[in-house]
Amino acid sequence: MTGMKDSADAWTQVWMDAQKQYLDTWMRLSGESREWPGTRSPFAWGGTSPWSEPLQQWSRLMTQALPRDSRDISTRLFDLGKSYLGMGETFWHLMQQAQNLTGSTTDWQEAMKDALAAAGGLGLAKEECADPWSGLATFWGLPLNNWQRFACSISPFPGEMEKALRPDSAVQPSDMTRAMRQFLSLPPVGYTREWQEQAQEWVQHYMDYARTLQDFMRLLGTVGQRTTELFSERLAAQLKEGESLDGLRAAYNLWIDCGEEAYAEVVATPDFPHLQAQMVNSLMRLKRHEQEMVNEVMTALNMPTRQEMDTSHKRVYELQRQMSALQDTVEDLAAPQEPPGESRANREPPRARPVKRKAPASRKAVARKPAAAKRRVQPKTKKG
Amino acid sequence: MQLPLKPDQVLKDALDFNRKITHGLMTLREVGDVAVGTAPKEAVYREDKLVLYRYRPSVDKPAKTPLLIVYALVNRPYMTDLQEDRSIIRNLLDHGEDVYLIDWGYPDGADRFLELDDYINRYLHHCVQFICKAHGLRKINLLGICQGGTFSLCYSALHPERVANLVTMVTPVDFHTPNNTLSDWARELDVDQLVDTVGNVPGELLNWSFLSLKPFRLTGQKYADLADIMDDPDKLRNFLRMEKWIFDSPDQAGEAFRQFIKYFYQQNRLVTGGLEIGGRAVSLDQVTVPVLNVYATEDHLVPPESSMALEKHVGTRDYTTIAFPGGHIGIYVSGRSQKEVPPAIASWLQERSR
Repeated sequence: MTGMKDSADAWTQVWMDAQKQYLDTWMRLSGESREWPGTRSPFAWGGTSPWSEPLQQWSRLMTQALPRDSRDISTRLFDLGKSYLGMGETFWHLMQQAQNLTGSTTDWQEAMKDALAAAGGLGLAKEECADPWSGLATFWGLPLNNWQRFACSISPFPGEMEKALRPDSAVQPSDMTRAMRQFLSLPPVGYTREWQEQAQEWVQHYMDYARTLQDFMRLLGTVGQRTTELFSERLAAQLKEGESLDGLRAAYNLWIDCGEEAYAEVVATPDFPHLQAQMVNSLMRLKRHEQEMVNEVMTALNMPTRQEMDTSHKRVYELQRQMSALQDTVEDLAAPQEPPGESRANREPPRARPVKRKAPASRKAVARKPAAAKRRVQPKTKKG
Repeated sequence: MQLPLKPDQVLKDALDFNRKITHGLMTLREVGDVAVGTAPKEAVYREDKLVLYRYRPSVDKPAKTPLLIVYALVNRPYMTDLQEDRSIIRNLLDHGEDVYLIDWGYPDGADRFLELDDYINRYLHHCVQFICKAHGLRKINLLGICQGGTFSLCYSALHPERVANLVTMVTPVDFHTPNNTLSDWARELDVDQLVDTVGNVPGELLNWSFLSLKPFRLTGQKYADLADIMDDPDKLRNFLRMEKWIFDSPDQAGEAFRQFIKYFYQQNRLVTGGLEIGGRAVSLDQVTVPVLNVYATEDHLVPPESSMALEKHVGTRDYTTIAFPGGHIGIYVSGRSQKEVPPAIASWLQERSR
């Protein structure tokens, strides 16, 4: 462990020095060439990213040296760091294009929209946008990654299979989809016909799930588009007022605000809860069918099944409940009888409710005094 | 033409961010694993996976009527005692309360058939009975938080003889108020199929729902903000504790989850009627004990309207509200909450114990 720590420390220093040296060199070269801010992207010198790749390598080494509680956080931080650098790169290109524009703010806004659309949104590499998971996995992909992890954890099939089922384009089915459709069209015959029918049913469920997942992803895709629109509008409005952004972080925060606004618009549509529920429901149908198939196999091998385990658990549970109820009865019988006066009070039926005043949200959390809150009602005796 | 950002500024900021992460991860390594739940406590009762804790009173003569905190099944109850300076429990103790807390535990396959009846009429009831017996009392005070508040309302309706005063915090009551996103998402969920298929409902599934409420902030901006505080070990520890809590989501016992989603989220029976738990009718009319309802005005999980609806339906004549200006999480841990909420709860309880 100490060796790992020393190694991580040494790497950290080397990497930090390299970053500083890189920045200094780039700034110097930009200045010398008088092509401010430089014609070549500092984010992708020589076709590769000089920052995100070393960051990734360094993170792999560093994560192993971290305490258990911190490993997930470091992964999320590195993912964010990668996106942030991607965003920096997109912005750097945008600024470079913008300085050549001589027209109005509207021209600039249009140029920015085009550039963002070409990049697929801030922080996204164009080639990654073909894959909705990787695209969404940049700025707000964690819930979707969580969903993918959850879906994989309850299925014997790898998550990669879902990727294989995605159509190559809106009208072009993937090879995997074509193969599945062919399998579905085979008539079930012979000794294995029942098994074939079950397998075909499974394929049908899988294709249903893949379709609902894609529908959901498509809906989420509109969030990225709308975020870009809102972002460029807000930025143009700021420029019109003569204001500029206070650094890359300010741009990032503005992007987040626009993203949440765009997302809230989509969430408020009836399609969102419908598609989200359909996605969960179709995955459960698939999983249920898988369980039935596995149960059959286990039964044939004379192995215990989940169904049998559930039956046993239920019987134990019911026995436990009966035992608990009996214990309660015995304790009640053994307990001394309550005084009659108190008993009456406890059994008093609910009285008619008084009119209650509304409780506005105060600026300061202060309890409303019962006397004030219930001015119109008779004071209640505390111990009835 | 004016540019929104200067290209060299972009480069500098990107590098600066990288530096922050690099330095921050060194700090992350140094702070190590974080501890949660700092107030001294003792396990006094156990049943299945449930543990009932009693916290050591911090005043010589604590309140005669103990206060039992009933937390939600979702997430872990140490949120009420996250760290020394962010602890509702410590504050309640300092204000003279004698505090008990239910830890429901982490259900596994053997708990799949637990119903709401088990949680409310068995586990919760047994804890109340235990405390009553230990203190020689007939009734105690309840503080229900979030889903635990809903449970406490049901319990108070079913066992009024055991509850002296009821405090509900960020508690959903009307599940069909506008802007209740979680409720909208649950409406078309085939919960029968879900529970029949997975048995216990995985905590990851619930986490996915919660993060999906504000994905840009909760999965992106939060970590960008983290980069800014990573050079401060104390702030980093605070963040780590919160992060640990957020992702510490127990699986949900299948039958109880099925009933909670159906009866409350989908059918809204607590408000519209027809709720039965363990074969006994539950109506908010039956809650006649004094009630203090504390809600958060910026709550994105339990909209304020959902909590405020209690006033319209509850049977008590002694009803008080506190509107805390903050969110669902801030009400447990913010500095303002620590100063205002526990003292207000303790004061309300003490007024009723005189």
